[in-house]
Amino acid sequence: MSDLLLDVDGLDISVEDRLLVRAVGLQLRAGESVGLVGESGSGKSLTARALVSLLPPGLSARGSIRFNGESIDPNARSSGHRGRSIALLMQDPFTMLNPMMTAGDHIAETLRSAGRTEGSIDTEVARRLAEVGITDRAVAHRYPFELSGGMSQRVALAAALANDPALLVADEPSTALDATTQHEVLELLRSIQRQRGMGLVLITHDLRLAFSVCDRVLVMYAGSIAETASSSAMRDAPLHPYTAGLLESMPSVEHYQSDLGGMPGSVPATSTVLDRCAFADRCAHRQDSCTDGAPPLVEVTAGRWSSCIRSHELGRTLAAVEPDDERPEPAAAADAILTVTDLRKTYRAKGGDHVALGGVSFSLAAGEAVGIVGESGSGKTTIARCILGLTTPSAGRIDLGGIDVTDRSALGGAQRRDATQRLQCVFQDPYSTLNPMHTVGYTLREALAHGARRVDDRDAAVASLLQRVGLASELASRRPAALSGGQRQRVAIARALAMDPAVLLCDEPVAALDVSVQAQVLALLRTLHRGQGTSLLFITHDLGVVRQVTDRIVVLYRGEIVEQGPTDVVLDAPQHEYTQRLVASMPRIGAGEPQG
Amino acid sequence: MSQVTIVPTLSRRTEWGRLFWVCVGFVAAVAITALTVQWIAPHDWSAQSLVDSGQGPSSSHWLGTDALGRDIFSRLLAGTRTGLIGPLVIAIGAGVLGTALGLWTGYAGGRVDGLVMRSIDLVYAVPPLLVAIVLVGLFGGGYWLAVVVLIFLSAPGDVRVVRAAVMAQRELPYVAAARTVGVSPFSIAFMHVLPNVTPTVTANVLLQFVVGLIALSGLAFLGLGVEPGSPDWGLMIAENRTVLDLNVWAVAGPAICITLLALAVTVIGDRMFEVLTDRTAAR
Repeated sequence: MSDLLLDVDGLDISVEDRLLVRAVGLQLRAGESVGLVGESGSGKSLTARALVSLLPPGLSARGSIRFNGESIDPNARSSGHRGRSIALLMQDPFTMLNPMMTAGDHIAETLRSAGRTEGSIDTEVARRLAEVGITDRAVAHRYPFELSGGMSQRVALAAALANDPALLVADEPSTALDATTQHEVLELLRSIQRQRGMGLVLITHDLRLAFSVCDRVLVMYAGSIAETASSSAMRDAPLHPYTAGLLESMPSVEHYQSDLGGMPGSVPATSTVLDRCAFADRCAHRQDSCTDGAPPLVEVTAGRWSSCIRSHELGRTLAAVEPDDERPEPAAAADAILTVTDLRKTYRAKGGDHVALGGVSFSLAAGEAVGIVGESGSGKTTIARCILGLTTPSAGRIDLGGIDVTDRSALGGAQRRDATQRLQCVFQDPYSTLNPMHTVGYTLREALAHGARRVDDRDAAVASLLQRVGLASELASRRPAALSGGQRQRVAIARALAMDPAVLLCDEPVAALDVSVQAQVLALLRTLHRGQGTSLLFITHDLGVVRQVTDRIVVLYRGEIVEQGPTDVVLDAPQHEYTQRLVASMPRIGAGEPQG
Repeated sequence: MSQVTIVPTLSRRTEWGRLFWVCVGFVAAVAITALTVQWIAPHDWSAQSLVDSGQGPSSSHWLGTDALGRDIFSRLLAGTRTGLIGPLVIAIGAGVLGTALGLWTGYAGGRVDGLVMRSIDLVYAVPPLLVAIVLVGLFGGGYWLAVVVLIFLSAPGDVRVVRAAVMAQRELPYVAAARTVGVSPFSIAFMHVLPNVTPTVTANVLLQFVVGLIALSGLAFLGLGVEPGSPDWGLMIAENRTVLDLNVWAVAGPAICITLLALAVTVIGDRMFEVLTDRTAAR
């Protein structure tokens, strides 16, 4: 009991009389790391904020939080332990640092509050930066906008650690970073945690990432804990159907899955599922007794807790199988429908031109699915914008089924309509890709009006479009605000389908979605590709996603193609040094010893 | 990579609040008065009675009389007409002109934008009230001339505000999505962007009402607005300065009316902006 660093018991968080987080318990010994995993709406971030007494205004918490045996009041407005023995590392490195303070100032500020003497601060700042892998002394004098994302996150980590906290709460510390940087930051976080014997609570939506960093994992669903176990035990044999579903829903980097998993529906609000198993509606193993009352979190075997009443019987059924499905033969070689030749784009910038694309050539055959993979700044979005005619390339040629669409403004009306007809796009952020002021029906009717097909009964056409993407036709009268993220992305897909395009360009279509919803949308895109022969040009940073959806991939690095070929070949045996680094940085379920 | 942790939105919708409804009630009362003043005014507001001139408040003249013996209360009621109509026409006229230009320049950008914005900078370089005084004076004054001049002087402000709001919307993916579907620039500007800047446009129109009210009253005070003798709050302040020692209400009355109306409309505009923004942004 006394060796517990953090002991949370029966934590409830509510706004007014609505419960958001229910009866969360969490124990952490000194030097231990625990991952808090869940999709949006699971309450993981609120739980973390309660630990540092930083709940958003209007929310209140009940229950006991003991830190080193001392009680913490989660509702206190004063800082308490926060900053001194509990540090918080937040998600977005770009907004977390004060833009008016240098990297060194951020660290010095914390050092001063810890009572360091002024004379020792400079050397101490340098030492702290070195600890997070920044040996260049000049970095201390740079402002956040002069630092890259990974560098900012390191500075933020150094500042958070400047007080030598006993516990670090990290809220999605790597989510906003590129894959390779993400990997480095997590490695760093893990090694510092080990060296210092510091407690770590890592909040993440990525189960694989939690497995690779943490000793133990807590899976949260709709405000309460679904399952808790050691990383290795949970990875090998999840006890809760939700954990198993999450594992299945994650597109594997290593192999093709013919069934993408994906649980139907989405996470319910905590307050609506208080008297039953919150997961029952999406569960394949549901029984009548599941909805009779809220299932308690019980210890199934030593150290493994689950809130599923069928944990004992389901145990073996849920064990993660490693399917190595055969990829269906890609369609026979067809003519290219989209050909990009030596595409270049240069932006004028202060202090010289910025080359976004330095001569990119690739093609997409009719009925083929090609993935464009790269990190931020690789130029993948610029390619999309050029192809869509949202920006005009500096040089090169884009040919869309016989039409030269390099410069759309040079096209005649009929040709421009033709190009629009052939190529449609699904954008990244489902929250802003639909006009918030228009209903779903309006958006779809507008797209139908611009299609070549003559539509006599628009309402019926709208209903059939919604049906094709798996939505109820009643949604036509709703505005985007009333839809979930997954539903919005389906509407965006329906809008693109209204044109019956030959090519569907998808710009990170699932990056903003939760894992279980992501799987549903990927399955939908795959059906469109397979069933209707729509060609897909799929832009993404996620290698798991390209493995599942595409036949061929193009790897982009700093505006140039470094490697391209069949998806399985490139991912299994990457040739270029950058591709190798990218493949190695992906957190994976089957990756040997997670504890390093 | 852009998995965003969303802190649950609180169900606390921005409410209109009591002050808003009090102000709406006041403006509604002013509007009703303007429509029915010929039946509800206790006296004929232009009837002179030199015997009763410069009286303080009494049971027959609630707010006393002016130098020509006209009933101040009745004139205040009649003043609601010029107090409402002119500013309303200015606000709507400048709003339509400014919103159309702002949408166009903000969405199109480039050369059109440069040309329109530089012309607007030019208009900004000279003080508007001064221009109004010169122009209205030059053309011999008159209420409607002042209104027209003020429409053109107020519109540049609207252009700037609407343009800024449009430029923020232009970069959002829903605009790119509409372009990809093949919607024309004109339709995107009016059918997609305009609904999303309504909070700004609404608040701006109401603000221009207030500016118009004060500018018109100021011009009337200088003798450049309404015809002499008309019951107008600005003009009343100018005319009744001579009887200030005999009847304070002859000056304080119209001054209070202008202040209250301006204040009420400002509060309405302010609240509408907050509530509409909140409801548009509600995800």
